Amino acid sequence: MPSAPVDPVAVRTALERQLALLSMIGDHLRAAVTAPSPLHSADWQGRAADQAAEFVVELQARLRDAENVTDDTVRRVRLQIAMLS
Amino acid sequence: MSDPKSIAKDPGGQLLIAPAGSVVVSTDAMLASVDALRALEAELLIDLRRALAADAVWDGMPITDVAPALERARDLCGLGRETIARAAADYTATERAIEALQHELGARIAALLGPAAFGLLVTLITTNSGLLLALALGGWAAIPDDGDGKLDTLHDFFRDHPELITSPEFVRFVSVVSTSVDDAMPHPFGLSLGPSGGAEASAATLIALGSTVGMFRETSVVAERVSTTTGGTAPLGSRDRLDRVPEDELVRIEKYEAPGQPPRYAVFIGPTETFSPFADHEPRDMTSNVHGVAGLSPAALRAVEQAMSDVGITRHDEVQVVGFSQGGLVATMIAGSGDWNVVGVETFGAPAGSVQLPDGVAGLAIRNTDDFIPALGGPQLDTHLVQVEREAYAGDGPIVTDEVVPAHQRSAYERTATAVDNAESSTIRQQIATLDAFATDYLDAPGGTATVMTYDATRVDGFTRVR
Repeated sequence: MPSAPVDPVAVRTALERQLALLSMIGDHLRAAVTAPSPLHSADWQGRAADQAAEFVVELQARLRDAENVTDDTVRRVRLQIAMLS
Repeated sequence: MSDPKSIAKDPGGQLLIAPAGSVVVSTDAMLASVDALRALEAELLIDLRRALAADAVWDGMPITDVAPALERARDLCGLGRETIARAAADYTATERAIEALQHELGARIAALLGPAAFGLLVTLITTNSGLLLALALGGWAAIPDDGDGKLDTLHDFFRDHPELITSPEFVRFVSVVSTSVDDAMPHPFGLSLGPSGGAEASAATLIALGSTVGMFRETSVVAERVSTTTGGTAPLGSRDRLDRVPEDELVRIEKYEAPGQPPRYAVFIGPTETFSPFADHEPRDMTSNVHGVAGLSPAALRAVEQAMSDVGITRHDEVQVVGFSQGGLVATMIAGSGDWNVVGVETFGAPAGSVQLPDGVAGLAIRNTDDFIPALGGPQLDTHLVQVEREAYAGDGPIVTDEVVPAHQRSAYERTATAVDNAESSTIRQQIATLDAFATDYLDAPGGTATVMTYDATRVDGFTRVR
Protein backbone atom coordinates (compact mmCIF):
# COMPACT_ATOMS: atom_id res chain seq x y z
CA MET A 1 0.00 0.00 0.00
CA PRO A 2 1.56 3.32 -0.96
CA SER A 3 2.35 5.81 1.89
CA ALA A 4 0.55 9.15 2.03
CA PRO A 5 2.27 11.86 0.02
CA VAL A 6 4.41 14.28 2.13
CA ASP A 7 3.84 18.01 1.66
CA PRO A 8 7.33 19.52 2.09
CA VAL A 9 5.90 23.00 2.63
CA ALA A 10 3.68 21.78 5.46
CA VAL A 11 6.58 19.89 7.04
CA ARG A 12 8.86 22.94 6.86
CA THR A 13 6.15 25.12 8.40
CA ALA A 14 5.67 22.57 11.19
CA LEU A 15 9.40 22.30 11.88
CA GLU A 16 9.79 26.07 11.95
CA ARG A 17 6.92 26.30 14.40
CA GLN A 18 8.65 23.71 16.59
CA LEU A 19 11.94 25.58 16.26
CA ALA A 20 10.33 28.81 17.40
CA LEU A 21 8.81 27.15 20.48
CA LEU A 22 12.04 25.34 21.38
CA SER A 23 14.11 28.49 20.89
CA MET A 24 11.97 30.33 23.45
CA ILE A 25 12.51 27.48 25.90
CA GLY A 26 16.26 27.50 25.24
CA ASP A 27 16.52 31.27 25.70
CA HIS A 28 14.73 31.07 29.02
CA LEU A 29 16.81 28.14 30.29
CA ARG A 30 20.08 29.86 29.35
CA ALA A 31 18.98 32.90 31.37
CA ALA A 32 17.82 30.72 34.27
CA VAL A 33 21.13 28.85 34.47
CA THR A 34 23.14 32.08 34.71
CA ALA A 35 20.63 33.94 36.92
CA PRO A 36 21.40 34.57 40.61
CA SER A 37 20.45 31.72 42.91
CA PRO A 38 16.75 31.74 43.81
CA LEU A 39 17.77 30.88 47.37
CA HIS A 40 18.74 33.90 49.42
CA SER A 41 21.12 31.73 51.39
CA ALA A 42 23.44 34.45 52.66
CA ASP A 43 21.37 34.71 55.85
CA TRP A 44 21.27 30.95 56.40
CA GLN A 45 23.62 29.23 58.76
CA GLY A 46 24.99 25.80 59.64
CA ARG A 47 23.24 22.77 58.18
CA ALA A 48 20.62 24.91 56.46
CA ALA A 49 23.34 26.79 54.58
CA ASP A 50 24.90 23.47 53.45
CA GLN A 51 21.52 22.15 52.30
CA ALA A 52 20.80 25.40 50.49
CA ALA A 53 24.14 25.19 48.68
CA GLU A 54 23.46 21.56 47.69
CA PHE A 55 20.00 22.51 46.49
CA VAL A 56 21.34 25.30 44.30
CA VAL A 57 23.92 22.97 42.73
CA GLU A 58 21.25 20.35 42.01
CA LEU A 59 18.83 22.92 40.60
CA GLN A 60 21.48 24.35 38.30
CA ALA A 61 22.36 20.82 37.13
CA ARG A 62 18.74 20.09 36.26
CA LEU A 63 18.32 23.44 34.50
CA ARG A 64 21.53 22.83 32.55
CA ASP A 65 20.36 19.34 31.65
CA ALA A 66 17.06 20.75 30.37
CA GLU A 67 18.99 23.39 28.43
CA ASN A 68 21.26 20.74 26.86
CA VAL A 69 18.30 18.53 25.91
CA THR A 70 16.54 21.53 24.38
CA ASP A 71 19.65 22.60 22.46
CA ASP A 72 20.10 19.03 21.11
CA THR A 73 16.49 19.01 19.98
CA VAL A 74 16.88 22.42 18.35
CA ARG A 75 19.91 21.09 16.41
CA ARG A 76 17.91 18.05 15.23
CA VAL A 77 15.02 20.24 14.09
CA ARG A 78 17.40 22.57 12.25
CA LEU A 79 18.98 19.54 10.56
CA GLN A 80 15.56 18.36 9.44
CA ILE A 81 14.81 21.79 8.01
CA ALA A 82 18.18 21.82 6.22
CA MET A 83 17.48 18.39 4.72
CA LEU A 84 14.27 19.76 3.17
CA SER A 85 16.23 22.37 1.23
CA MET B 1 14.90 58.87 54.56
CA SER B 2 17.24 55.95 55.12
CA ASP B 3 20.42 56.80 56.90
CA PRO B 4 23.30 54.94 55.23
CA LYS B 5 25.36 55.20 58.40
CA SER B 6 22.67 53.47 60.45
CA ILE B 7 22.57 50.64 57.92
CA ALA B 8 26.35 50.20 58.04
CA LYS B 9 26.33 50.04 61.83
CA ASP B 10 23.08 48.14 62.16
CA PRO B 11 23.55 45.47 64.85
CA GLY B 12 20.13 43.98 64.12
CA GLY B 13 19.31 40.44 63.03
CA GLN B 14 17.28 39.17 60.13
CA LEU B 15 13.58 39.85 59.66
CA LEU B 16 11.14 37.23 60.91
CA ILE B 17 7.75 37.36 59.24
CA ALA B 18 4.35 35.81 59.85
CA PRO B 19 2.17 36.59 56.81
CA ALA B 20 -1.37 37.84 57.43
CA GLY B 21 -3.73 35.02 58.36
CA SER B 22 -0.85 32.76 59.34
CA VAL B 23 1.00 31.98 62.53
CA VAL B 24 3.92 30.35 60.72
CA VAL B 25 7.06 32.43 61.08
CA SER B 26 9.62 32.64 58.29
CA THR B 27 12.61 34.84 57.65
CA ASP B 28 12.46 37.43 54.91
CA ALA B 29 15.19 35.45 53.13
CA MET B 30 13.06 32.29 53.28
CA LEU B 31 9.98 34.06 51.94
CA ALA B 32 12.03 35.76 49.22
CA SER B 33 13.47 32.34 48.30
CA VAL B 34 9.97 30.89 48.11
CA ASP B 35 8.94 33.82 45.89
CA ALA B 36 11.90 33.21 43.58
CA LEU B 37 11.31 29.45 43.41
CA ARG B 38 7.61 29.99 42.72
CA ALA B 39 8.48 32.42 39.91
CA LEU B 40 10.97 29.96 38.39
CA GLU B 41 8.38 27.19 38.69
CA ALA B 42 5.86 29.33 36.83
CA GLU B 43 8.37 30.09 34.08
CA LEU B 44 9.25 26.40 33.74
CA LEU B 45 5.53 25.59 33.48
CA ILE B 46 5.33 27.97 30.51
CA ASP B 47 8.36 26.20 29.01
CA LEU B 48 6.69 22.87 29.61
CA ARG B 49 3.56 23.99 27.79
CA ARG B 50 5.71 25.18 24.90
CA ALA B 51 7.47 21.79 24.77
CA LEU B 52 4.14 19.95 24.75
CA ALA B 53 2.84 22.31 22.07
CA ALA B 54 5.97 21.66 19.98
CA ASP B 55 5.47 17.90 20.28
CA ALA B 56 1.84 18.30 19.20
CA VAL B 57 2.64 20.20 15.98
CA TRP B 58 1.16 18.24 13.05
CA ASP B 59 3.78 17.20 10.47
CA GLY B 60 6.58 18.08 12.92
CA MET B 61 9.15 15.73 14.45
CA PRO B 62 8.61 14.03 17.85
CA ILE B 63 9.78 16.25 20.74
CA THR B 64 9.84 13.83 23.66
CA ASP B 65 12.96 14.59 25.75
CA VAL B 66 12.45 18.25 26.60
CA ALA B 67 9.28 18.00 28.70
CA PRO B 68 10.67 15.38 31.16
CA ALA B 69 13.85 17.44 31.65
CA LEU B 70 11.75 20.53 32.38
CA GLU B 71 9.55 18.51 34.75
CA ARG B 72 12.63 17.42 36.73
CA ALA B 73 13.77 21.02 37.21
CA ARG B 74 10.25 22.17 38.05
CA ASP B 75 9.76 19.36 40.58
CA LEU B 76 12.92 20.42 42.38
CA CYS B 77 11.59 23.99 42.67
CA GLY B 78 8.43 22.63 44.28
CA LEU B 79 10.44 20.42 46.60
CA GLY B 80 12.56 23.41 47.63
CA ARG B 81 9.48 25.47 48.41
CA GLU B 82 7.94 22.68 50.46
CA THR B 83 11.18 22.15 52.37
CA ILE B 84 11.40 25.82 53.28
CA ALA B 85 7.73 25.87 54.33
CA ARG B 86 8.24 22.75 56.44
CA ALA B 87 11.31 24.28 58.10
CA ALA B 88 9.30 27.41 58.93
CA ALA B 89 6.42 25.32 60.32
CA ASP B 90 8.80 23.23 62.43
CA TYR B 91 10.50 26.35 63.77
CA THR B 92 7.15 27.94 64.60
CA ALA B 93 5.85 24.78 66.25
CA THR B 94 8.95 24.57 68.44
CA GLU B 95 8.65 28.24 69.41
CA ARG B 96 4.93 27.85 70.18
CA ALA B 97 5.56 24.74 72.28
CA ILE B 98 8.19 26.56 74.33
CA GLU B 99 5.91 29.58 74.79
CA ALA B 100 2.94 27.39 75.76
CA LEU B 101 5.04 25.53 78.31
CA GLN B 102 6.33 28.77 79.80
CA HIS B 103 2.84 30.28 80.01
CA GLU B 104 1.53 27.11 81.62
CA LEU B 105 4.34 27.16 84.15
CA GLY B 106 3.84 30.86 84.76
CA ALA B 107 0.15 30.40 85.42
CA ARG B 108 0.76 27.45 87.75
CA ILE B 109 3.45 29.27 89.72
CA ALA B 110 1.26 32.36 89.97
CA ALA B 111 -1.71 30.29 91.10
CA LEU B 112 0.45 28.50 93.65
CA LEU B 113 2.04 31.61 95.12
CA GLY B 114 -0.87 33.94 94.53
CA PRO B 115 -3.30 32.86 97.30
CA ALA B 116 -0.60 33.10 99.95
CA ALA B 117 0.37 36.55 98.81
CA PHE B 118 -3.26 37.56 98.44
CA GLY B 119 -4.06 36.32 101.96
CA LEU B 120 -1.41 38.61 103.33
CA LEU B 121 -2.73 41.45 101.18
CA VAL B 122 -6.32 40.96 102.42
CA THR B 123 -5.11 40.88 106.00
CA LEU B 124 -3.25 44.09 105.46
CA ILE B 125 -6.19 45.80 103.75
CA THR B 126 -8.72 44.78 106.40
CA THR B 127 -6.56 45.23 109.45
CA ASN B 128 -4.20 47.96 108.55
CA SER B 129 -4.58 49.68 105.21
CA GLY B 130 -2.19 52.32 106.41
CA LEU B 131 0.51 49.66 106.74
CA LEU B 132 -0.27 48.40 103.21
CA LEU B 133 0.11 51.88 101.81
CA ALA B 134 3.30 52.25 103.79
CA LEU B 135 4.66 48.99 102.34
CA ALA B 136 3.75 49.96 98.77
CA LEU B 137 5.29 53.34 99.13
CA GLY B 138 8.18 51.73 101.01
CA GLY B 139 9.07 49.70 97.94
CA TRP B 140 9.07 52.84 95.88
CA ALA B 141 11.00 54.65 98.59
CA ALA B 142 13.60 51.87 98.73
CA ILE B 143 14.83 52.98 95.34
CA PRO B 144 17.77 55.31 96.01
CA ASP B 145 17.04 58.89 95.06
CA ASP B 146 20.08 60.64 93.72
CA GLY B 147 18.27 63.93 93.55
CA ASP B 148 16.82 63.50 90.06
CA GLY B 149 13.84 61.49 91.22
CA LYS B 150 13.09 57.75 91.56
CA LEU B 151 12.26 57.18 87.92
CA ASP B 152 15.56 58.78 86.99
CA THR B 153 17.35 56.41 89.33
CA LEU B 154 15.67 53.42 87.73
CA HIS B 155 16.40 54.94 84.34
CA ASP B 156 20.08 55.27 85.17
CA PHE B 157 20.32 51.71 86.51
CA PHE B 158 18.82 50.09 83.42
CA ARG B 159 20.74 52.39 81.12
CA ASP B 160 23.94 51.16 82.75
CA HIS B 161 22.81 47.51 82.52
CA PRO B 162 20.93 47.25 79.19
CA GLU B 163 21.79 43.57 78.83
CA LEU B 164 19.42 42.76 81.72
CA ILE B 165 16.36 43.72 79.72
CA THR B 166 17.52 43.42 76.11
CA SER B 167 17.14 39.83 75.00
CA PRO B 168 14.44 37.62 73.47
CA GLU B 169 14.60 35.50 76.64
CA PHE B 170 13.69 38.45 78.85
CA VAL B 171 10.91 39.40 76.45
CA ARG B 172 9.50 35.88 76.73
CA PHE B 173 9.66 36.17 80.51
CA VAL B 174 7.75 39.47 80.40
CA SER B 175 5.14 37.91 78.13
CA VAL B 176 4.62 35.09 80.64
CA VAL B 177 4.35 37.50 83.56
CA SER B 178 2.03 39.88 81.69
CA THR B 179 -0.45 37.08 81.11
CA SER B 180 -0.15 35.47 84.56
CA VAL B 181 -0.73 38.33 87.00
CA ASP B 182 -4.47 37.61 87.08
CA ASP B 183 -3.76 33.98 87.94
CA ALA B 184 -2.07 35.09 91.13
CA MET B 185 -5.07 37.07 92.34
CA PRO B 186 -8.53 35.66 93.08
CA HIS B 187 -11.63 37.74 92.40
CA PRO B 188 -12.24 40.68 92.70
CA PHE B 189 -8.65 41.71 91.86
CA GLY B 190 -7.96 38.82 89.52
CA LEU B 191 -10.62 38.90 86.84
CA SER B 192 -11.83 35.40 86.05
CA LEU B 193 -11.72 34.95 82.29
CA GLY B 194 -11.16 31.23 82.00
CA PRO B 195 -7.99 29.30 82.73
CA SER B 196 -5.96 32.45 82.13
CA GLY B 197 -7.44 35.82 81.24
CA GLY B 198 -4.32 36.84 79.37
CA ALA B 199 -2.79 40.28 79.22
CA GLU B 200 -6.15 42.07 79.39
CA ALA B 201 -7.12 40.45 82.68
CA SER B 202 -3.60 40.92 84.05
CA ALA B 203 -3.72 44.63 83.22
CA ALA B 204 -7.18 44.92 84.78
CA THR B 205 -5.82 43.24 87.89
CA LEU B 206 -2.92 45.69 87.94
CA ILE B 207 -5.39 48.60 87.71
CA ALA B 208 -7.45 47.20 90.58
CA LEU B 209 -4.39 46.75 92.75
CA GLY B 210 -2.76 50.03 91.74
CA SER B 211 -5.91 52.02 92.38
CA THR B 212 -5.68 51.15 96.08
CA VAL B 213 -2.59 53.33 96.28
CA GLY B 214 -3.66 55.92 93.71
CA MET B 215 -1.99 54.43 90.65
CA PHE B 216 -3.47 54.03 87.15
CA ARG B 217 -6.53 56.24 87.74
CA GLU B 218 -8.09 57.44 84.50
CA THR B 219 -9.27 61.00 83.93
CA SER B 220 -10.95 63.20 81.39
CA VAL B 221 -8.72 64.55 78.65
CA VAL B 222 -8.81 67.47 76.24
CA ALA B 223 -7.00 67.56 72.88
CA GLU B 224 -6.03 70.86 71.29
CA ARG B 225 -4.68 71.65 67.86
CA VAL B 226 -1.10 72.89 67.91
CA SER B 227 -0.44 73.60 64.24
CA THR B 228 -1.87 73.46 60.72
CA THR B 229 0.27 73.55 57.60
CA THR B 230 -0.55 72.95 53.97
CA GLY B 231 1.56 71.07 51.48
CA GLY B 232 3.81 68.12 51.97
CA THR B 233 4.78 64.86 50.36
CA ALA B 234 3.37 61.37 50.65
CA PRO B 235 5.11 59.11 53.17
CA LEU B 236 7.02 56.39 51.36
CA GLY B 237 8.12 53.32 53.24
CA SER B 238 8.12 52.24 56.86
CA ARG B 239 11.01 54.47 57.87
CA ASP B 240 9.33 57.55 56.41
CA ARG B 241 6.09 56.76 58.23
CA LEU B 242 7.93 56.18 61.53
CA ASP B 243 9.73 59.50 61.05
CA ARG B 244 6.33 61.23 60.91
CA VAL B 245 5.24 59.82 64.27
CA PRO B 246 5.57 62.80 66.64
CA GLU B 247 7.76 62.62 69.71
CA ASP B 248 6.72 65.80 71.51
CA GLU B 249 3.08 65.91 70.54
CA LEU B 250 0.16 63.52 70.79
CA VAL B 251 -0.70 63.05 67.16
CA ARG B 252 -0.01 64.25 63.63
CA ILE B 253 -2.88 63.99 61.17
CA GLU B 254 -2.29 64.31 57.43
CA LYS B 255 -5.32 65.02 55.26
CA TYR B 256 -4.98 63.97 51.62
CA GLU B 257 -7.33 65.46 49.02
CA ALA B 258 -7.72 64.84 45.31
CA PRO B 259 -10.32 66.35 42.96
CA GLY B 260 -13.51 64.32 42.88
CA GLN B 261 -12.45 62.01 45.72
CA PRO B 262 -13.48 61.91 49.39
CA PRO B 263 -10.59 62.92 51.68
CA ARG B 264 -8.27 60.37 53.21
CA TYR B 265 -6.45 60.72 56.52
CA ALA B 266 -3.19 59.33 57.90
CA VAL B 267 -2.98 59.46 61.70
CA PHE B 268 0.52 59.26 63.24
CA ILE B 269 0.36 58.66 67.01
CA GLY B 270 3.20 59.38 69.42
CA PRO B 271 4.70 57.11 72.10
CA THR B 272 4.58 57.12 75.89
CA GLU B 273 5.86 60.39 77.32
CA THR B 274 6.07 59.54 81.03
CA PHE B 275 6.39 56.20 82.81
CA SER B 276 5.09 57.36 86.18
CA PRO B 277 2.23 55.10 87.37
CA PHE B 278 0.48 58.14 88.85
CA ALA B 279 -1.65 60.09 86.37
CA ASP B 280 -0.55 63.67 85.92
CA HIS B 281 -1.41 66.19 83.20
CA GLU B 282 0.17 64.04 80.48
CA PRO B 283 -2.19 61.46 78.92
CA ARG B 284 0.64 59.61 77.16
CA ASP B 285 1.54 57.83 80.39
CA MET B 286 1.56 54.42 82.09
CA THR B 287 -2.09 54.83 83.06
CA SER B 288 -3.01 54.98 79.37
CA ASN B 289 -0.73 52.01 78.68
CA VAL B 290 -2.27 49.81 81.37
CA HIS B 291 -5.86 50.83 80.53
CA GLY B 292 -5.13 50.24 76.86
CA VAL B 293 -3.75 46.75 77.42
CA ALA B 294 -6.77 46.05 79.63
CA GLY B 295 -9.02 46.89 76.68
CA LEU B 296 -10.54 49.89 78.48
CA SER B 297 -10.67 53.51 77.35
CA PRO B 298 -7.30 55.16 77.98
CA ALA B 299 -6.99 58.94 77.89
CA ALA B 300 -4.48 58.75 75.03
CA LEU B 301 -7.04 56.94 72.87
CA ARG B 302 -9.83 59.38 73.71
CA ALA B 303 -7.54 62.32 73.00
CA VAL B 304 -6.56 60.98 69.57
CA GLU B 305 -10.21 60.34 68.73
CA GLN B 306 -11.03 63.91 69.79
CA ALA B 307 -8.34 65.17 67.41
CA MET B 308 -9.69 62.95 64.62
CA SER B 309 -13.19 64.33 65.14
CA ASP B 310 -11.87 67.90 65.29
CA VAL B 311 -10.17 67.42 61.91
CA GLY B 312 -13.51 66.34 60.53
CA ILE B 313 -12.89 62.65 60.00
CA THR B 314 -16.17 60.77 59.73
CA ARG B 315 -16.76 57.06 60.19
CA HIS B 316 -16.91 56.70 56.41
CA ASP B 317 -13.59 58.37 55.56
CA GLU B 318 -10.68 56.05 54.84
CA VAL B 319 -8.05 56.25 57.55
CA GLN B 320 -4.55 54.86 57.93
CA VAL B 321 -3.15 54.72 61.48
CA VAL B 322 0.53 54.57 62.36
CA GLY B 323 1.97 54.50 65.85
CA PHE B 324 5.10 53.85 67.86
CA SER B 325 4.97 52.15 71.28
CA GLN B 326 1.84 53.43 73.06
CA GLY B 327 0.94 55.15 69.81
CA GLY B 328 0.89 51.73 68.18
CA LEU B 329 -1.41 50.42 70.88
CA VAL B 330 -3.75 53.38 70.37
CA ALA B 331 -3.57 52.97 66.58
CA THR B 332 -4.52 49.30 66.88
CA MET B 333 -7.37 50.11 69.30
CA ILE B 334 -8.72 52.69 66.85
CA ALA B 335 -8.60 50.12 64.07
CA GLY B 336 -10.17 47.48 66.28
CA SER B 337 -12.95 49.69 67.61
CA GLY B 338 -15.04 49.54 64.46
CA ASP B 339 -15.85 53.23 64.99
CA TRP B 340 -13.58 54.36 62.16
CA ASN B 341 -13.02 53.19 58.59
CA VAL B 342 -9.42 52.12 59.13
CA VAL B 343 -7.97 50.43 56.06
CA GLY B 344 -4.28 50.42 56.94
CA VAL B 345 -2.27 49.97 60.13
CA GLU B 346 1.45 50.16 60.79
CA THR B 347 2.78 49.85 64.33
CA PHE B 348 6.26 49.83 65.83
CA GLY B 349 6.85 48.21 69.23
CA ALA B 350 3.18 48.28 70.20
CA PRO B 351 1.90 46.29 73.22
CA ALA B 352 -1.21 45.45 71.22
CA GLY B 353 -1.15 41.65 70.94
CA SER B 354 -4.58 41.25 72.53
CA VAL B 355 -6.40 43.76 70.32
CA GLN B 356 -8.57 42.03 67.71
CA LEU B 357 -8.88 43.74 64.32
CA PRO B 358 -11.82 43.50 61.93
CA ASP B 359 -11.57 41.99 58.46
CA GLY B 360 -10.42 44.38 55.75
CA VAL B 361 -7.59 45.91 57.76
CA ALA B 362 -4.12 45.34 56.34
CA GLY B 363 -0.63 46.46 57.24
CA LEU B 364 2.40 45.68 59.34
CA ALA B 365 2.94 45.13 63.07
CA ILE B 366 6.69 45.56 63.60
CA ARG B 367 8.42 44.51 66.81
CA ASN B 368 11.97 44.04 68.02
CA THR B 369 12.23 40.61 69.65
CA ASP B 370 14.52 41.96 72.37
CA ASP B 371 12.11 44.79 73.20
CA PHE B 372 9.94 43.79 76.17
CA ILE B 373 7.40 46.62 75.80
CA PRO B 374 5.28 44.82 73.12
CA ALA B 375 5.32 41.72 75.34
CA LEU B 376 3.43 43.70 78.01
CA GLY B 377 0.42 43.37 75.72
CA GLY B 378 0.73 39.59 75.81
CA PRO B 379 1.32 37.24 72.88
CA GLN B 380 0.17 38.26 69.42
CA LEU B 381 -3.34 36.88 68.96
CA ASP B 382 -4.63 38.80 65.94
CA THR B 383 -3.38 37.73 62.52
CA HIS B 384 -4.89 40.38 60.23
CA LEU B 385 -1.60 42.26 59.97
CA VAL B 386 1.67 40.89 58.68
CA GLN B 387 3.78 40.38 61.81
CA VAL B 388 7.40 41.45 61.40
CA GLU B 389 9.99 40.78 64.10
CA ARG B 390 13.71 41.41 64.35
CA GLU B 391 16.29 41.31 67.09
CA ALA B 392 17.56 44.88 67.44
CA TYR B 393 20.82 43.78 69.06
CA ALA B 394 21.64 40.40 67.61
CA GLY B 395 24.77 38.40 68.32
CA ASP B 396 27.31 39.00 71.06
CA GLY B 397 28.16 42.59 70.25
CA PRO B 398 27.88 45.33 72.87
CA ILE B 399 24.57 47.11 73.30
CA VAL B 400 25.70 50.63 72.59
CA THR B 401 23.10 53.12 73.75
CA ASP B 402 22.64 56.07 76.04
CA GLU B 403 19.01 55.24 76.61
CA VAL B 404 17.18 52.82 78.87
CA VAL B 405 15.42 49.87 77.16
CA PRO B 406 17.63 50.22 74.06
CA ALA B 407 15.64 47.83 71.86
CA HIS B 408 12.53 49.99 72.36
CA GLN B 409 14.20 53.27 71.43
CA ARG B 410 13.10 55.08 68.32
CA SER B 411 16.61 54.69 66.91
CA ALA B 412 16.33 50.89 67.19
CA TYR B 413 13.00 50.94 65.38
CA GLU B 414 14.38 53.32 62.76
CA ARG B 415 16.96 50.65 61.87
CA THR B 416 14.29 47.95 61.83
CA ALA B 417 12.04 50.11 59.65
CA THR B 418 14.93 50.56 57.22
CA ALA B 419 15.42 46.78 57.17
CA VAL B 420 11.71 46.40 56.42
CA ASP B 421 12.02 48.85 53.54
CA ASN B 422 14.91 46.77 52.21
CA ALA B 423 13.01 43.46 52.55
CA GLU B 424 12.87 41.33 49.42
CA SER B 425 9.88 39.08 50.08
CA SER B 426 6.61 39.84 48.36
CA THR B 427 4.83 39.41 51.71
CA ILE B 428 6.38 42.66 52.93
CA ARG B 429 6.77 44.41 49.59
CA GLN B 430 3.02 44.17 48.92
CA GLN B 431 2.13 45.62 52.32
CA ILE B 432 4.60 48.50 51.88
CA ALA B 433 3.18 49.21 48.43
CA THR B 434 -0.39 49.21 49.76
CA LEU B 435 0.47 51.51 52.66
CA ASP B 436 2.38 53.85 50.33
CA ALA B 437 -0.46 53.96 47.82
CA PHE B 438 -2.85 55.28 50.47
CA ALA B 439 -1.25 58.72 50.12
CA THR B 440 0.38 58.56 46.67
CA ASP B 441 -2.93 57.68 44.99
CA TYR B 442 -4.10 61.17 45.95
CA LEU B 443 -0.95 63.30 46.08
CA ASP B 444 0.41 62.04 42.75
CA ALA B 445 -2.92 62.86 41.08
CA PRO B 446 -3.33 66.26 39.37
CA GLY B 447 -4.54 68.74 42.00
CA GLY B 448 -3.74 66.45 44.92
CA THR B 449 -2.98 68.30 48.17
CA ALA B 450 -1.94 67.54 51.73
CA THR B 451 -2.76 69.37 54.96
CA VAL B 452 -0.86 68.53 58.14
CA MET B 453 -2.32 69.12 61.61
CA THR B 454 -0.73 68.36 64.97
CA TYR B 455 -2.43 68.03 68.35
CA ASP B 456 -1.43 67.78 71.96
CA ALA B 457 -3.60 66.81 74.93
CA THR B 458 -3.92 67.35 78.65
CA ARG B 459 -5.56 65.34 81.38
CA VAL B 460 -8.17 67.38 83.28
CA ASP B 461 -10.63 67.07 86.22
CA GLY B 462 -8.10 66.64 89.00
CA PHE B 463 -6.92 63.28 87.72
CA THR B 464 -9.59 61.37 89.64
CA ARG B 465 -12.60 60.92 87.40
CA VAL B 466 -13.11 59.24 84.07
CA ARG B 467 -15.25 61.28 81.74
